[in-house]
Amino acid sequence: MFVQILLIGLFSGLFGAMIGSGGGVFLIPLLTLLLGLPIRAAIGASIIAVIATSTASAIAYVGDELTNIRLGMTLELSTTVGAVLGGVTAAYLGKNLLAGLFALSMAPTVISLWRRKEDAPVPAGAQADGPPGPLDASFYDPRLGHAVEYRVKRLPVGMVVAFLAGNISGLLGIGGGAIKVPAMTLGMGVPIKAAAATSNFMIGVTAVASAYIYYSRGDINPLIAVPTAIGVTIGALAGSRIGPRLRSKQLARMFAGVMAILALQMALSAVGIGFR
Amino acid sequence: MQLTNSQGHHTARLNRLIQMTLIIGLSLSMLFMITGTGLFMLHPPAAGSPAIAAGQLLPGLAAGDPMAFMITGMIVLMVTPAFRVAVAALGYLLEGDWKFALVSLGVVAVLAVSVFIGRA
Repeated sequence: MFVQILLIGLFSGLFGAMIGSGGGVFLIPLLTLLLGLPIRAAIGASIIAVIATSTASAIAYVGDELTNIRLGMTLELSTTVGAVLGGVTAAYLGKNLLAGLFALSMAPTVISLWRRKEDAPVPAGAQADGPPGPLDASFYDPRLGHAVEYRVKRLPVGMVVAFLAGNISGLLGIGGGAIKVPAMTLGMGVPIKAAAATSNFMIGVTAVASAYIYYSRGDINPLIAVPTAIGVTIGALAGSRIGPRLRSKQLARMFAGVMAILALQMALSAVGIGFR
Repeated sequence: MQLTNSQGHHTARLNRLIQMTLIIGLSLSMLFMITGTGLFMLHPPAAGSPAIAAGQLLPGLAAGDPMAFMITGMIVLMVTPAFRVAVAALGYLLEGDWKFALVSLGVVAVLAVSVFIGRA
């Protein structure tokens, strides 16, 4: 069991770091559906795994200046409030409802992965008119071979979405990157690589906000969380090095397909079919 | 981020500081977790609850208790992002960037509230 959990963690960390999520969207269905672990134990382990993914990938992304720390810190303010509220609420929900909510929360990831564009460092409208702001940034894109500058738009919208992402994170033990990355890319004009790196940076703090609550309640079992954390750390260290160099469209679509199947299984388990 | 020379210089310095905080936190955490896992495999504890009270962690570490090592690793991991926010707040304060120092301190305050809720 220990080695299986470690391998699942490794897989989740590798791809979580690449797509800007904590890997919980892979981890929780795999731990519950493959290994038959209770969903609360999987959520507890996932919270720890999200912190590990975030920390490991941020080491690379912050060093490469892909992470927009000022933007991340600003959005963290609303996302942590959402996470604390989600962590408190989770104790009062049944396992079938949690599984159903989890299946629903996977939908934005599936859609954003499927629609992910190849090498689109500056989405349409990113260089909009208007005064430069303190959140604007630039980074070097190794695939393009030059620096990409961008302006951050519609911060209030980002703050509201970050709050909702934090709430779902606290409730379900995922990082919420699946919601934050599309919001930053499509809504705020942040290039996808910077959005994924900034999301990875944020989700650790988001997870910490609910981790203390889960841990105090005894919902985090070290015998599940520790091998998961070791696995995701190794995976995320590798994923954060590979991710920025990848031509990611096909990979993203493949994972969208896998996740759609997992979401369907979780939805079925919510109504009592095949869930342990 | 290289918006202006001055801000770019400050940002690069803060990035390095945050990166070092994360490296130290993650390395320490992994050291405890891997040691705990190794000890667990060598000497599996008797069946029962893996929970250890916070006050028993240090004696547990001294006695080579695998669960004490695993839980300490988890706690170090959980503290690392919070510590990184505090480091950023301090960095912004030293740079005189009051706005982002306040934002960072706000995040620290929310995390402190979550610890309080967890204990309540």
